[in-house]
Amino acid sequence: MSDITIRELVKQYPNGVRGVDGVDVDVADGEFFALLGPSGCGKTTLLRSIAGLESVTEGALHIGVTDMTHVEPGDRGVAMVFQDYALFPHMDVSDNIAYPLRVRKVPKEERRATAARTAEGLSLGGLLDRRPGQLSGGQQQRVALARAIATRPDVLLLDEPLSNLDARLRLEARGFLKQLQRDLGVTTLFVTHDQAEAMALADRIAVMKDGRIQQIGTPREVFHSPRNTFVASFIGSHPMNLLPGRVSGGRVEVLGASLPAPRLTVDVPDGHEVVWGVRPEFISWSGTATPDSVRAEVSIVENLGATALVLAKAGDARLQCVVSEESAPQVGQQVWFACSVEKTLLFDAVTTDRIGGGE
Amino acid sequence: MTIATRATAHRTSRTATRFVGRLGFVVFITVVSVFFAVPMIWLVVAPFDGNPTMSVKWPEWTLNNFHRILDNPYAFGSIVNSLMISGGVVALTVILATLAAYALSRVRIPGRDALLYGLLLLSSIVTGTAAMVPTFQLINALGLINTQLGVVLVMSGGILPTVVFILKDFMDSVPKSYEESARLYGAGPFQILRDVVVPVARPGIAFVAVWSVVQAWSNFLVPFILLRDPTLQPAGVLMYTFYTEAGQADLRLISAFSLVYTLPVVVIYFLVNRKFGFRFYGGIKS
Repeated sequence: MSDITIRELVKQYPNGVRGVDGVDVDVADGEFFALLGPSGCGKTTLLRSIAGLESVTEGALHIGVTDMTHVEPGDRGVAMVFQDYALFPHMDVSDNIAYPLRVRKVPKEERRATAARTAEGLSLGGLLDRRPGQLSGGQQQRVALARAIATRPDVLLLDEPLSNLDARLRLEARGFLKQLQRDLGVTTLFVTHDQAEAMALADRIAVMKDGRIQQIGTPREVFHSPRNTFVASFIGSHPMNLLPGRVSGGRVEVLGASLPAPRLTVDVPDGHEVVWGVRPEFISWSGTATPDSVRAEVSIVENLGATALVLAKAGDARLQCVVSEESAPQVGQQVWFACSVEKTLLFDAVTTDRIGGGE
Repeated sequence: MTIATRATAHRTSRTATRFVGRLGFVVFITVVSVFFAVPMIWLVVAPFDGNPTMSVKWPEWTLNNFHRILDNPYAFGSIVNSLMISGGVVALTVILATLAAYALSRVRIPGRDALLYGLLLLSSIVTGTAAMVPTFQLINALGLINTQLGVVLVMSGGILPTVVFILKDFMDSVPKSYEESARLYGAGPFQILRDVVVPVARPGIAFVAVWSVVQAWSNFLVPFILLRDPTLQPAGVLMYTFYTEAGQADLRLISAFSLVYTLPVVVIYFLVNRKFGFRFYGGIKS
């Protein structure tokens, strides 16, 4: 069993900055787990702490039942693919893949055989004699993956695995990574700043900010039931509409209109300041006034192919919604936006925690 | 004058100015080239001249000068001495500098750059003329006077700071992720140095090796002061003893020996260049 248990992990730098500030994470055996957050949120530091490349200031790290908090990186059974792949430029593909085995003093024939077998599995068969400099970005990544899995690690760590690939290759590599992880069944953690990547690949996502975990959940959970406004705005290809409002008689006053409020999870008095949130994908528009809708004027329509992103102004506030491209409104048109109460979220204006809605 | 003729006149004068400028440039380049070329030509031509002088002239072709080198009892031995001293200096500097540069590149210590610049500055004094008396006394106290080991140590000491300085730059450009990657697979510091850092920094190491050979090979002062026994002296010092019976510099012997003295360095340069290829940059573009 190679599940990962992280308790109260703190990484403090000599200048007093806490890169990781009291993090608890449990990753199940065989799980594909994403660490997601903006740059500087400590996700890479956390990953490097698991690898043993950063010494931990406080807290504990277990892989399986073994306490790995202060174990040397090489003795943790952890393999890592670096963002720049870190392929050794002076070794050919075969030697690169076999390098971990060379460190372990595996005989040369066995090393070559393992390298060839692993390379074959990642469709690198014909490239064994090439140097990293002669490979494309996607091939380099597969070599780095092959080197990481050649030793059959208990845990595989990936640092921004797709960020060095161009856009089209990224989609391809995404599918490939997911398939590979499933086939190997190895506990895998990866770091990304791209929420789409995390949503697409991971079984579960930990959203981080300022060295702290904001929420851990399945892609569905973080998308539909974000724990606070940060997660709400970070997840999703279009940022969630988050507008100030106040609770009044079981409804929410927002944008000068009174909209139905979702089920509240905490009791708040009338007049309580909240943040009303709804994803652009869950807003529909109509050319005529409908009940429980907000009036706005369309200012920009961005064509996204099958869909269109509509930006509208309601008073001083701005609203976004994603609609089918065929039914997009005209710029300058007066429209009424409505959204179903099930998709509406309410957050406390002060603590930013979600207090209503969600699944 | 019409505007058209004025324009033509202007164009003509501009062409003239340009021609004069061009001519001046060519003359300047020619003078500079001759200034540097003449000693080279002398070095190649004078050894084959039956009666060489201090000027470059068409030689009276002969190989007698080289026969005279063979007659000199110390000539062959001095080349061997030069090779031994240079070899010792290169081995010592490259090994020590690689270790030191790697450590200095990776370990953060306060005042590291000041230390490096300080060493660089001092090294040019320590083995220079100014420090010759204390250096002599030090080597004397160590009982290394009249030994090639003493010469190797003093020369290496003088070369090391510069070499460490240059190599550190090469090591800095080796991405840290290479080492971290190797570390994750269980490689220790020396294994990482051997398997990853040294191969990647190889152009830099090749460069400092050749540079050290050239420095040691051409150093006159240190062996001149520390070695008394002519059987131990390197070629550069031996050449200083080439006088005719009349007490004049023996140009026939000096010219021929100069050429012989130059060849090993040129050969080493080409060998290293062929094997490693001088690339005057550090890291690998990924």
